[in-house]
Amino acid sequence: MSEPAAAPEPRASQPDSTRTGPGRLLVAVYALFALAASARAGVQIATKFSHAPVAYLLSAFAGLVYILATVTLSIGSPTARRIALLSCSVELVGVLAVGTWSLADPASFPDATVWSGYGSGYGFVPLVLPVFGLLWLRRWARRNRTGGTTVTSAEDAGEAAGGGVAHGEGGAPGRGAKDVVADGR
Amino acid sequence: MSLGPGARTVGPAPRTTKRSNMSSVNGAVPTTIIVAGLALAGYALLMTALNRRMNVPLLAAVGVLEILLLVEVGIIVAKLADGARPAQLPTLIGYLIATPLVLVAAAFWGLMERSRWGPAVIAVAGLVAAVLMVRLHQIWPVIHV
Repeated sequence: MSEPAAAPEPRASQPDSTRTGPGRLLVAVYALFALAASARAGVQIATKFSHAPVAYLLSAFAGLVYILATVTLSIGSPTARRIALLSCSVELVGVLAVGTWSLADPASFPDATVWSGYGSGYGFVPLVLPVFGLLWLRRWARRNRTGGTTVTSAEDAGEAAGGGVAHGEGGAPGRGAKDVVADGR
Repeated sequence: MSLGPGARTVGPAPRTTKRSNMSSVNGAVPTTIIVAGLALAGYALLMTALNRRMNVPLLAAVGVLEILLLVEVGIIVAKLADGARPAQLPTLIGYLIATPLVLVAAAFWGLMERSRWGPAVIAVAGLVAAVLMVRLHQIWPVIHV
């Protein structure tokens, strides 16, 4: 009891995922844009597709990318993170390309898309969002590469405390570690 | 901006020196929602900055804002029932469905979080509530109660 286990047991009940902590906010904003972009594109394509087909198809594509990112970020498995990385990258390239295109050739865009003017119609959130998504995913890639042993000092402290105090109760160490980690971010 | 034939004549617009959208949202309920949404966002952001989790006062504030949003939806539905129609009816209906759902979804999503990022989700929802009022006015300028 006085000697904490070498391999920390709470690893099994590791509560962290790409949808907790800052990821909670990220997934929420992605979900918002998934809804906004796809609903808007749906209405526009259904009611007045011929008015600005390029803009509406690009909006629909953006909506699909946002949906994909929302779902994969909230799943958070290694495969999902790989797909999320791809969709965030496509999103960043898309907002830069469409933003430039919309400024260079306004005639192609009689109506705005989510990505027109680098997302200026949406407070430039479409431009910032993929950057945060990629940073968040990079943090996870790093964490996994180090095997979780030198993740953060807060987590180590939490596990050490949890392992020492309540070795008999299975749930307690994990929960203690979770709280410390969650607060640490 | 062309108004549909159903759009009623907008009352005497308030004379403003600045040409902004905010000044034209001149209804009591939407204005209250904008102020309340921004206040909620500020309070929730403060909680995030102070490393607080979701708590009862924040949830109560979310509840108050949700009631205001439902009142606004009711007012708009009453206008539609009166026979008035905006230029883009499908878009307006989409907004009417989405408006009350945003805060509820944010509250559930935020409650699942056991860290400072729960209130951060609420902050986004408060901002969205304010933006939605401006957008509703853009879709249908008669929306100023």
